[in-house]
Amino acid sequence: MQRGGSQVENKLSLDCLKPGERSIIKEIIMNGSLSQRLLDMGFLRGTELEIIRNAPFADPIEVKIRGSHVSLRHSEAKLLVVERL
Amino acid sequence: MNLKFTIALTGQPNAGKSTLFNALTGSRQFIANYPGVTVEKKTGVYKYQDDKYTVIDLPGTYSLTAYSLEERVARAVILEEKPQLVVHVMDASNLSRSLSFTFQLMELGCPVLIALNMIDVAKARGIEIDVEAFESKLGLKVAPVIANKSKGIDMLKQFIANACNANLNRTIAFSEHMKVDYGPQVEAVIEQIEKTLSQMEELQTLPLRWLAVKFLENDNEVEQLINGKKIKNPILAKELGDS
Repeated sequence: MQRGGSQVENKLSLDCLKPGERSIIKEIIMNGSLSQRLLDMGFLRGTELEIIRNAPFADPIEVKIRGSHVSLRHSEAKLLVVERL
Repeated sequence: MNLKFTIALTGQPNAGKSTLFNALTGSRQFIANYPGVTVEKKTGVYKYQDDKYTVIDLPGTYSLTAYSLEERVARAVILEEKPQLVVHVMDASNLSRSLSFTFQLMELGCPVLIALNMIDVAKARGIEIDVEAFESKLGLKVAPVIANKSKGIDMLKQFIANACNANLNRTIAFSEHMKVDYGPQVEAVIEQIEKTLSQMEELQTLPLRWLAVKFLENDNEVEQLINGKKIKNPILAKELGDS
């Protein structure tokens, strides 16, 4: 997956990152049950993430957050705006 | 004394609620090491110092919103069956993720006790928890346990007994021992909504502050509850419009 692949309004989204890359959550572009579940998992603005595995074409993306591993769909990772560390 | 108490086990998926349930009641409920095994509420009984404790094993939930069936089951049991005590089973190796749930329980206004489970796993990961400091920060009693090895169960039963007996004389349904401060702007709106809700007789068995917070979160069930009581209140609408 090339750098800066799919983006939300020119912002870097989580699904563009490669395994091993670390980032910080800048924005969460979703609401309702999905955002609630991510909040419950500790996805807050300013939280650090590390990509563990990323299946480029098929889901999911595995990320490490606050010491635990969470798998996300690409469609969900697209809605997380991040900044590379 | 032969008293009867009801306690509910709650917490996030895979925190060990059902394992603890079995350790407490001696039953053999199905346990598998993956989350989401308990889908309905199950009950069991144990005796301790002549008193009878009915234990409700609730499905694991990450929070107490109205988005999923398990969450609705869990909070309906807490709100409607009003157990004397809610035991939050926490995964000691993953505290930060569990704590938001603790605060949601406290916001619900129910008496909470923490069963800090899997302290052996936490230790193996290099996590040592200062139980006393934890207790004083939260203002809750904390019992460290290793549910799958039945360790700490006697102490937990003692803590449960103490808490249940202390709640015997509770006259109001929900205590207000803890409040999350949402900041002056939101607090002002919450207060207004609470005031409006306090005039509705049908809602008085429920924690009003919690209802107000959930109403602001656009919680489906709470909205229906409030609107169902024919409270299409202009004040509420105005409050929400202003915020």
